[in-house]
Amino acid sequence: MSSRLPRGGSRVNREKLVDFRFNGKNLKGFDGDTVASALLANNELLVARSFKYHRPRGIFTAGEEEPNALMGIGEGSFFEPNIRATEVKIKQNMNVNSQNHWPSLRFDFLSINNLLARFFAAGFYYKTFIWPRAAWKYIFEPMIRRASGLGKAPKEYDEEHYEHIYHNTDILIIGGGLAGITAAKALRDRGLSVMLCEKDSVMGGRYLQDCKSEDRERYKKLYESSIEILKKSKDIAVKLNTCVTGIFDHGFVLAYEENQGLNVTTKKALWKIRVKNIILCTGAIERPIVFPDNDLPGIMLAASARDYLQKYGVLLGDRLVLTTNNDYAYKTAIELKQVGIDVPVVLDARASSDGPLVKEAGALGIRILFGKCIGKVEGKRKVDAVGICSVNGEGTIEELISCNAVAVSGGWTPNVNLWSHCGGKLIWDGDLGFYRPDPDKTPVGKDGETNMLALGGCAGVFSNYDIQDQVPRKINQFASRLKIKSKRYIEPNIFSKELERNAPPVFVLPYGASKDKQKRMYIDFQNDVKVSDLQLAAQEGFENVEHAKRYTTLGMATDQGKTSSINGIYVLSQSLGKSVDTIGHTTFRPPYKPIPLGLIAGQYTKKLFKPIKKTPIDKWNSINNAIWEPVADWRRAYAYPKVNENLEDTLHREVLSVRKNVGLLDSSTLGKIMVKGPDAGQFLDLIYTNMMSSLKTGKCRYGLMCNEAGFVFDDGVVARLNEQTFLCHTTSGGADRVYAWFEEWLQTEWHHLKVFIINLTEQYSQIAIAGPKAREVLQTFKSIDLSPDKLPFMHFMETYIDDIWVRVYRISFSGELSYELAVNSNQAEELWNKLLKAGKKYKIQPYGTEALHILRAEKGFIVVGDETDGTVTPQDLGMEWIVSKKKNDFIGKKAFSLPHLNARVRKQLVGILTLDTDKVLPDGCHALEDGKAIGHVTSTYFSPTLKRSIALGLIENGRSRIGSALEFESSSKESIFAKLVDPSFYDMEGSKQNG
Amino acid sequence: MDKIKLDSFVDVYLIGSLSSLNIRLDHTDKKSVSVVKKNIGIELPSAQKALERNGLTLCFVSDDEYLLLNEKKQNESLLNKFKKQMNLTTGVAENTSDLRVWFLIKGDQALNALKKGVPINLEKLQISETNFLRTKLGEIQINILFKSYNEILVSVLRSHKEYMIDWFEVCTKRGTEINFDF
Repeated sequence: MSSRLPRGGSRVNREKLVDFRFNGKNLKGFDGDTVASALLANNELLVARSFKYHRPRGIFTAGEEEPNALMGIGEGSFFEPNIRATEVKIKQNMNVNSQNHWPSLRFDFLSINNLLARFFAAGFYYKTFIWPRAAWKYIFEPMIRRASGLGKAPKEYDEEHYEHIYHNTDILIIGGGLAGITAAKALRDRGLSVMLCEKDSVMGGRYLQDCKSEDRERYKKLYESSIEILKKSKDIAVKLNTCVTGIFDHGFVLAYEENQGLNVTTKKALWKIRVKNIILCTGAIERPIVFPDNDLPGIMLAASARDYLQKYGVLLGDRLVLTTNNDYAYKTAIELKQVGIDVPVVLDARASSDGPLVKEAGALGIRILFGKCIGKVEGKRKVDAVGICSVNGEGTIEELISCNAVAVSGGWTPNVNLWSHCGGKLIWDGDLGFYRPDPDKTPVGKDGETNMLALGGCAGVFSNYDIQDQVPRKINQFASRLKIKSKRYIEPNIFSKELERNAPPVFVLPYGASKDKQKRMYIDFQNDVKVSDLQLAAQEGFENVEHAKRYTTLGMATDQGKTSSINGIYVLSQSLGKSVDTIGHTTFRPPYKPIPLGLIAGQYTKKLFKPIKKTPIDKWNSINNAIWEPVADWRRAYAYPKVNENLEDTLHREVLSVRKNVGLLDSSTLGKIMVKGPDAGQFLDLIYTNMMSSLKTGKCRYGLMCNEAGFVFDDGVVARLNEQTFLCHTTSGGADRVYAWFEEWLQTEWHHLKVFIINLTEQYSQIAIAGPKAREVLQTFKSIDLSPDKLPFMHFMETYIDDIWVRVYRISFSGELSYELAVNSNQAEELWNKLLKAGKKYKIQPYGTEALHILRAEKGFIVVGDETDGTVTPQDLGMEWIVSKKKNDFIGKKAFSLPHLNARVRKQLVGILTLDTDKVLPDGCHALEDGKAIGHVTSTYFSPTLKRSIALGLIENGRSRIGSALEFESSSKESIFAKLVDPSFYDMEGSKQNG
Repeated sequence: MDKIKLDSFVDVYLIGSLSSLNIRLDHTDKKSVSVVKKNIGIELPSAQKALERNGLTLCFVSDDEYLLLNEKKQNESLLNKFKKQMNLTTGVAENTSDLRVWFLIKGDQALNALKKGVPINLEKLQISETNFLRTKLGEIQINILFKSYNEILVSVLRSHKEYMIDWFEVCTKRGTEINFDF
């Protein structure tokens, strides 16, 4: 059984007990425990079920490479699934639940899959669920989806605090082990900014933790002095609890900060780091040896078993067998033996070894068997015994050893994921059995120069002596190459020469394992990929490692094959009879370890989710019960319902108020672009389809812009402020687009024109006052003379309303007598209130965008985006009158002569009147002819003015069909018949707006 | 200038509008450039810089665009005169005072607060000179005028005023300071 020692554990505070729950059971741990260490301390060996066969699984590692112990942690708004128990610290009252089982972890119904495992080989789904075809959609897929998956998605809104942080640094050191610390020291005082990210909560990696007791004081001294140096250095910034998860082009790095020190919530930040150069010191991950029944709870990587002992004072078991191929793993056996744990045997796959650790283990009385390995593991939900066999045979059991824990080590694999993320190549080291960074094919920065240097374990250099020897030298060369302040760094090597971690590679044992055993030899624990699965993949022709990966799901789990990839590649190569280096490796992709989805969103959720633009009158609108409509990035008042008034009544009231009295509209969102210069008129002639240079000062003209293909792009009123200055109004959503369009043409095609533009959209707010009594309302302000001869239609004047400067445009989008008042935005609300006050006796009412749309549809005015969709020409809209025949050139002119833009079948804008006057056509519904769609409705309303439904639509050859009736299809497939008419329904001669 | 009530690790003040002109000119056109120098006594600043004199600050927006700020509103007449003269050249100067709202961020963590939204390299600023950055904060456009490490002016389009206040509330919340362990 696993347990906790009465003392020890460098990471835990034994003074402080922490209560937590696991699957509803109340447990206790110490402050500083991870979920994994606390579970082991409470003898919870069975912590998970595997993905496919629902086999019992225990904690296998002590870090981010953990394939088994995934938990749902937290509750309600703080619940997060698929969290590695090895990485999360326990907190008071934390709720931890295992995943992927029913009804309980111990008795899992779907573990029946395990009994049927022989039928569930690789590719089972592809081969089995083929017939009957319809069953896939309705039976097989729903059934498989229900059975598959690990954690459950949270149901409540995630209340965790996430944020993004930008940082720039000259050099980023990834990893704070011996190599990282030494590199940081060597880079200080060179005039460079250096950032060091360490995923753990303390620096040092394994070197201090794994040293011999007689070396401890010396190593500790080095560690403390190094940390002191880094703390004092102004150049170096160290970030703990921060895991670099991805490296992208041009030195862009993403790092995940997870500060678990906070009591209530965990601070989670995504660091977006721009770096010039990267020093990779990510170390190595211990690799397991694959043997029969190697996935039972109680089997763990040797270094991890040591971690639990050293950091948490936790024992994996009280009778442990070590199986290995290298001297370094003997540390586990030695340390456990030293704390009184029974280590009945060490099974060493090698023929012999006389290394100091092997001798030390022998001296402690540990029985060492060379040339032996594990041939079977007995136990149902935990290890009860192991059978010993010869490495060279089929796995015939020679001896059964009773034990409750197994530590396994097949050597170490350099952690090269980040090197590969941005294009660094790897080379196979056949002597040591791993891929390591190819120093000749490194990742490169934006200038094409090498921007990454791998040091220490991740470069395949494991010995402390070699690291201490290599790092200063490499850093000096690196500094010299970059021509940075050259200060040769020398550090005395305090380590003794040792080659403990290097050993001939061993991947799968016994070498001649029978077929039966191969079906019980697990490579990828999370996805239940066995040796036999890879052999089957090879047999079925999946020779490419990427194909075999996808066929078997090797390395596709949340651990991304950290402990399984190399073993899998080896098995595939053996199955194909090829060498590993010819097989290659699968692609490493970011993130290095899973990150919460909330982290990607960062702080941009809830009220920061989307920036909403608000007009200067927004506050008044809000107080006065406006309901909102998003218009591009703006929120606009859609309508102003009164108490107990339904929306339909509101819209009727607002429309009729404009038609009969006077209404007030906040139209501040209209784009306003000033175009100035001696060539401004010429420029606008090129931009608009109609002539603008001929516009007289003080006058306005409606203009249409098309793109090069001749399709309507935007529209609006242009006012000529003086000889050289025009103010171009655009649609609300089009302001930025049109401004960019102007700039692009000016900077690329017409740079010879002396024209400058300024986007004044938010400098001026605009208020429309529309209705037969609009003039009367404005003339209550004594300073204004708005008589038709002073300010005729399509003219403007600048004046004051009380002491507020305004530019009054006599333009109309409603078909009524109308004025639009531009005012400096800071005074917009004041002006709005003055107008409301002045209009009170004329029954003035504010109206929203929907009433505006009804009014303009009654008049037959188009809205870009409603009547146009990027494929509509001015001619389609019946607006040939706005396309100049005099101008030599303008954007879109050439396109108008193309045959397909003049084809008879083009859709043309028409008015539509339903035969049943109360029936309002659905927006966008199709017009049918002989069952074929020949057009669609673009705008449709019930007109309060005409007391009937009206619509606009684009119909094939529509103008020639005017007077005829067509069938329209509603969403309920009901046919509605309507007559095509001229698109203007109200005041066709324009007497009201012109009056 | 009102201090915004926030549980924040920096002090944030809402200044509101600052008297300002947007100037567009061809910097190779001597006539336009001389109007600027003659009237406000300030050379055109280089990229990411601003130059100050007599309460006026001229900021580099782009190669052909500058922002003239009059923080103290003491030089309105000068600005008007300048605007008129600029309009006589092929350049343009236009009042944009109402277009933006300005905030002042004060405190030791002022620069760090911006690092939560601004992608531009803030590490390399030479605060001995006046820096003016035109960049983005999250999804919105932002201008930053550095007075010192501890005092930073920020402007956004006036329509984003409330969004910006919300951003300060979320991103400068006490307890979320950016810290290095050492």
